[in-house]
Amino acid sequence: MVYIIQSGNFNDIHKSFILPLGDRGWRSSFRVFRGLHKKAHHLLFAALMLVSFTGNAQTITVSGTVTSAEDQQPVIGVSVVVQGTQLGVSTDFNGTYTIDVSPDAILIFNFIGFQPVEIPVGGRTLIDVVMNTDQKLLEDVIVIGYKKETKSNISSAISSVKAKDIEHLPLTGLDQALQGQAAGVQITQATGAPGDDIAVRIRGAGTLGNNNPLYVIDGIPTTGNINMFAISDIESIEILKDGASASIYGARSANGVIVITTKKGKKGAPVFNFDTYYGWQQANRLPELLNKSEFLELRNEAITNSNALRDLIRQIPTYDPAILDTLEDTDWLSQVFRTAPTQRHSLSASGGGDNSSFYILGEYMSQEGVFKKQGFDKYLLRFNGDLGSKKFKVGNNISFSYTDRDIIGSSGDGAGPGNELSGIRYALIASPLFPVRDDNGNLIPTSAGLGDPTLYGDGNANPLAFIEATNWNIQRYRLFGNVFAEYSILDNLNFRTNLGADIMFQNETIFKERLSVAIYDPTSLSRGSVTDRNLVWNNTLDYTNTFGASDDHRVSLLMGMEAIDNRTDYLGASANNFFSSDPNFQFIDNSVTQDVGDISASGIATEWGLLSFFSQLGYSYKSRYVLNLSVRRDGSSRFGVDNRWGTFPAISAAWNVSQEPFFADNDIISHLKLRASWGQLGNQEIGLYPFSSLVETGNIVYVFGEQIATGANLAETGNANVKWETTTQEDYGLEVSFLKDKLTLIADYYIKTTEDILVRVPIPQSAGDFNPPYVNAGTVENKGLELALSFRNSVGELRYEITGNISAVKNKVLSIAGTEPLLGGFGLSDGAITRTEPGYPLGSFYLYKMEGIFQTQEEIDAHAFQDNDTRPGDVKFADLNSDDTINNKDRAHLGNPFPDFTYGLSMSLRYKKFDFSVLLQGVQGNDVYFLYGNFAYEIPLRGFNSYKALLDRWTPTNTDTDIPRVSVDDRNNNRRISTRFLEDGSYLRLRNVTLGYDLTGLIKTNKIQSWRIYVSAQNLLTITDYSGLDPEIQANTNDTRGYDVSSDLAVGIDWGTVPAPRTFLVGMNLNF
Amino acid sequence: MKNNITTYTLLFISLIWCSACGDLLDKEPLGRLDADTFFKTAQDAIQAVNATYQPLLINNDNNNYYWVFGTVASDEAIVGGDGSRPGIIAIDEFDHNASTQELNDFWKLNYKGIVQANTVIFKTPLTEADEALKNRIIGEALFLRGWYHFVLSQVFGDIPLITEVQDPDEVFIPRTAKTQVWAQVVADAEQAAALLPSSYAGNDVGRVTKGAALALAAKASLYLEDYQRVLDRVAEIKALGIYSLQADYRNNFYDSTQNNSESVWEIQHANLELGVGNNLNQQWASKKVPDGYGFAEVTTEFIAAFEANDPRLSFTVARHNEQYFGVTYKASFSSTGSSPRKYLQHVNEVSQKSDGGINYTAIRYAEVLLWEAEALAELGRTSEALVPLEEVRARARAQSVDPVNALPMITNTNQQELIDIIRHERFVELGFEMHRFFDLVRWGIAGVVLDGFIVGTHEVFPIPQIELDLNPNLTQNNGY
Repeated sequence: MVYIIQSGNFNDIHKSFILPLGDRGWRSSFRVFRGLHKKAHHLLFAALMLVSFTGNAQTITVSGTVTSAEDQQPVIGVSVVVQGTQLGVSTDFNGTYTIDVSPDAILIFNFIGFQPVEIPVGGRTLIDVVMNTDQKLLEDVIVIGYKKETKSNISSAISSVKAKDIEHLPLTGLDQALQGQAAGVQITQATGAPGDDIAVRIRGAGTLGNNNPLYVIDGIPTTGNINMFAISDIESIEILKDGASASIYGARSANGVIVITTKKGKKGAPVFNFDTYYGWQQANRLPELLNKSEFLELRNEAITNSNALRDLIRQIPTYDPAILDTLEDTDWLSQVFRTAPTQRHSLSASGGGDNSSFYILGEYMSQEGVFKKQGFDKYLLRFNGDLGSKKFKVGNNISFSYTDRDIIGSSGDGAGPGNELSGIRYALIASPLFPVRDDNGNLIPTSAGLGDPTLYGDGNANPLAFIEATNWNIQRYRLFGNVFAEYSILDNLNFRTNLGADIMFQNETIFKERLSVAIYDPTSLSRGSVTDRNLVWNNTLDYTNTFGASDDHRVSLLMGMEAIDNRTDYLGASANNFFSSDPNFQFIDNSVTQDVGDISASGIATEWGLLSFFSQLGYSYKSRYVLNLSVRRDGSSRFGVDNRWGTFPAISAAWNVSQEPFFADNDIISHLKLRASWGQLGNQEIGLYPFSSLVETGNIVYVFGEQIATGANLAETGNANVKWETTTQEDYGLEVSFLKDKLTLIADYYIKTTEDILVRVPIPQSAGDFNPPYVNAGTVENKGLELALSFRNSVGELRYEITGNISAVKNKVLSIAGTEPLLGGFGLSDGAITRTEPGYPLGSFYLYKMEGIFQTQEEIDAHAFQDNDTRPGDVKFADLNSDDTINNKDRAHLGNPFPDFTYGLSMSLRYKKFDFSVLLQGVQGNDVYFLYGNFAYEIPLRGFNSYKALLDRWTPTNTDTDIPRVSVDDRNNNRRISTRFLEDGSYLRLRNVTLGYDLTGLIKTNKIQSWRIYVSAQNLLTITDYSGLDPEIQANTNDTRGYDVSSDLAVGIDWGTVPAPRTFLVGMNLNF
Repeated sequence: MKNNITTYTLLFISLIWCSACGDLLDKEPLGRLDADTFFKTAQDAIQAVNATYQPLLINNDNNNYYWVFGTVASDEAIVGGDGSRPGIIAIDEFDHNASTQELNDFWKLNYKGIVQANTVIFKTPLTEADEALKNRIIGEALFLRGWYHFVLSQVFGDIPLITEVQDPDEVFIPRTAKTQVWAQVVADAEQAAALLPSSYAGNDVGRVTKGAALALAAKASLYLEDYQRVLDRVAEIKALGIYSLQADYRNNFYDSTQNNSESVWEIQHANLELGVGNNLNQQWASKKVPDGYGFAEVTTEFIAAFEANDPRLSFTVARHNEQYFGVTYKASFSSTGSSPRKYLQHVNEVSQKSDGGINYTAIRYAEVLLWEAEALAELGRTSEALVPLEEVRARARAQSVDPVNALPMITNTNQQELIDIIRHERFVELGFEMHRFFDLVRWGIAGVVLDGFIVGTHEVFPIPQIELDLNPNLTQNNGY
């Protein structure tokens, strides 16, 4: 159907502000407007439940399938346009299309990488098309730093994830889109809480500080909070992994760069896309804890074992099992976990004319937590558009998002520097004898009022009451986008200016209702607001030309500058004592102030700036020999005046062997490319003012004359001499395809060395209890191998594709200035769990070694001295330095959190109208320190619960076990930091299984291009020997002592966590 | 031509803009002060020295467990509580080790004070403060540096002695013998005494005085067994003419009678709900009263140590059927049948249990008199020693229900016997004031008095494991 808009009155309205573009601009904008108007009609029809359409009398319906000449596979997303009109459709998942045209129309088939095809309809209703690959556009176009490039002219290591690789998966975040998809990219979910942070590591952890990659979204660099973007928006994700590709981002590139390009409108008729899913999540892999009779049995045994070593006066009475008859048997985990819904709905429209294109998206996503009162909602709007000719074009990419996250602390480390109390910790330790409610049905706030702390706990919160008493919410509003103009000075010379803004407003509320004198006392509210303003302006001049006979020489030159200016303002207020805990009264104004100290306010601001100049030169000869050079010079406000500027060069070369004449007509190897690169990268994520020693003023410090006294504390010592840390990366790559590209292999070997690493070197506490200074303190090396393999084939009507990737990284610290080891993992008072020093990986576990369990007194006597009170059933620790005494010198590097290799495997099948895909992801050979084992496998005097597995503890009659005897005193210090709690963290996870069915054609209409329904399951299965809740572990703040950096010094320490949920979904994609 | 114009326009715009780019990279820290430029005014120096007092507080933020070492480890108290502080139990039973958390908390806290004190000592001369104020501030900081070193050496023995502002590469320093630490404490305190005023008024009450500095010098000299120096410092304290015993012993432990004539060095607390209250009001309160933790319960040995009708027993200890801060004390309130009273308050006096308003009388004049008696007795001047001893006993006697018969005057001049008598007087006069364990160690009799005490090991506590890990130049104490 064609909508003819007869409404000349638009002219007057629009001419006024489109005039500067000239007449031509005005016309194209009118087309956009007309297009929009058309869309409104489409939407209306869609809303009317997709009623059947009947074609116009003058048109016929043409349909068919588009396949590739090379491999006979259907080609998805081919634009099919009627010549001389705006009418057009795209091919669907099966490569088929349907379009209404006049019988004498000419159809133009267009797809990137293929030669366009023009076919006169000639009255036919079935037109199948075979498209030939375009040798000039041999492969995909890849977005690299500040420009696009065809694959054959690229000589560095870049992984690319395209929309088609992920759009059939019901993903909740951008980070999930990368999981298991690209070699060398490791994604770790810190906890299963919705909206929680995800750690992304590209080619391992290279520094002791911040290892997060840089994200560049439509040309605007940003870090963090990446879950605010919509998965439906993604056109492509490119991961710039090696030195040569990332180096163009200079001072922020050391951890790799992830370049995200959002969808743009395509020329042709408007296309609407409706995506929806709804799902149910359930807690996965919860541990079994002791029930009340087991709890009491072990408790009595632990008391009896301790009494044997206690003075008579300090004997602890045991309990008569008869008391159980009147006591509760609470299963706390079933109280705090629930089945939680998750859903996502998005509607987009895109289209374009000769001189314009647009893309609009609206999305709503909601994920409630499997742990009560956790949840994440997201609302997102996007408008991408451009207007103008090839000569001059202006466009924008703008997204506005709002996220609303409800939090209950879900890392088990609980209260610590910068940490709130943790709900999961309370749920794991709460005694089964602790009743949920009192006789009146009210939640019992804590175990304090129950009496005996040995039975009920020592005042720990009722997990449900804790959840009720906590209202922790973070709302973020983010405007992210850019406006650009492109001007073609000459045919080969383009100028682009791009002004971007990343503006975020965050409101955080923490309301804590008093539970007891020790927890949340008094009732308090704190509100914090953050305004983060990041402005980016970049300008590039891009020149590409070919020279010589038959254009053998291709030269490209890019020059540019970029300026980034950031300011962040923080404002906070807090108040104590409230007359009501009703959410309607959770405002500062509702506090009942009793004292001047009941209300306080705080505020501060930070700023940083970055100024950069860069250039990139590319040369290729007959597409056989490719050479690329780039250099970037960055000035950063974070460095002292003397070390402000850094230079980051890179060089890379490739040989497209398959382009050589001698290679022609090779039936086996269809494509072969060898490449090598070298580049230097920088890292400026070292705090904002590392050169300065800071004094905090106005702190409440003491009392003089019964009045409060304020003081000025030394807060941080600076180092005026800090300089850039530099990562040098070499990469050697091989890309080869066999059997007409059915099988492709990409292999990379790299050596990545980071020198002058900036780190806060922990200094003795005798030098002061404040943040230690940054120093350029060491060298870390990562050597790695990455393989990516894909195989596509079809057998009859069954088409399938298998892709897999595997990567191995060896991480090693080469040197640390001053040779003092760096410590991490301070959560326990037993000293640090990790020690980083030359010759070992970052954050390597430094532990006592458990040799076994002492079975007899003779065995204890024969062993090195541990403790006077060591008894059979206690842990035997190895005398590593053979001095016949077990002391802190008997610790050694006995494990590390880095996997031997990580891998991903995805398979997708298509058979008739069915499609099926599986995504597996795993890590192998990493160690996890199961710190929660301190509770799970012990009976402390405090009434805390333990794993059911503890029933297999050592007793004189159960000696064949590796769990020591229970004792409330633990005089042998069985729980010291040792290999007893070091576990193999390897896992293989079935991330996603999806079965889809194509309903296109079910309803007799040619308006629907494709219609698919699917069912999907996530995290269906996890194969691991790990005994914690979730083998995916990141660092906890407690372990890094609240320092804002160096979290990679304490990775893989598990305090107990909310595990990633298992999710079942049903969903639908509709294109019309 | 048109293209050229455009190109030049673009270049021109870029140039104009970039001339403003220079500012982009000059970002000074906002809202916070740089240590190198901070010390300018008199007010800056005052603010910095105020912060030096912070580690003294026995509050929740500081985790200041001085009382665990001084009192729970001694024969005054056993640990009660609910078992939630395994470190305190371990210290009570001499089962502690380098990982015991309270040890690291104490180490970190006091070194924080030392580092801040050194900053004040070296930066204050650079400020615009007048000479008198500079002297006072430097005097305060010198005293506090000495005080923190002193309490650290009481607990850990040999410790790193830090008397300079350290550069980041100079921080890995080894331990100094405790006698040398004490000698430095004496030097710091004597230098401070020369700089400090005798007293303060108004909003400066609670700052270090000349008398406090002389007293710290005397105390460290006592530990060095330099008895003549003890006597010299005590004479100077007396010569100030401002110290005397309170008629009522209890005035040292009431909120309303603090900083009195008996107060020589008093660590200030106030119930302002700003985190500067003492938490002994909660830690030591019987766990049978609301929000009490009951972490110190009085031993029968301590009660037995009192002579008949010594009023100080009921001033120090709560027993069955006595009034106890608004409730009637029952023997069931503690596993030993009694609880301490000092530093505790009536329930109506404080808005939060852990925010007590009572100061810690770290050195009071009664103790100064007992040092004098002890030093004289050690020097064999026994009849002179009887004078200050009697002054202390006389005050107690006057408050007895039976002043005629209670606490008879001591006339024994046998040196060893008199020393034992003076030691006993310290036990009962200064009960629960966190001196007992350190006294027993100083006198070399801890192994006789304390169960589980291993001579040669338990005189000092182990250097915290975290610190041993952080500073490879440290060594561990014998036996740990």
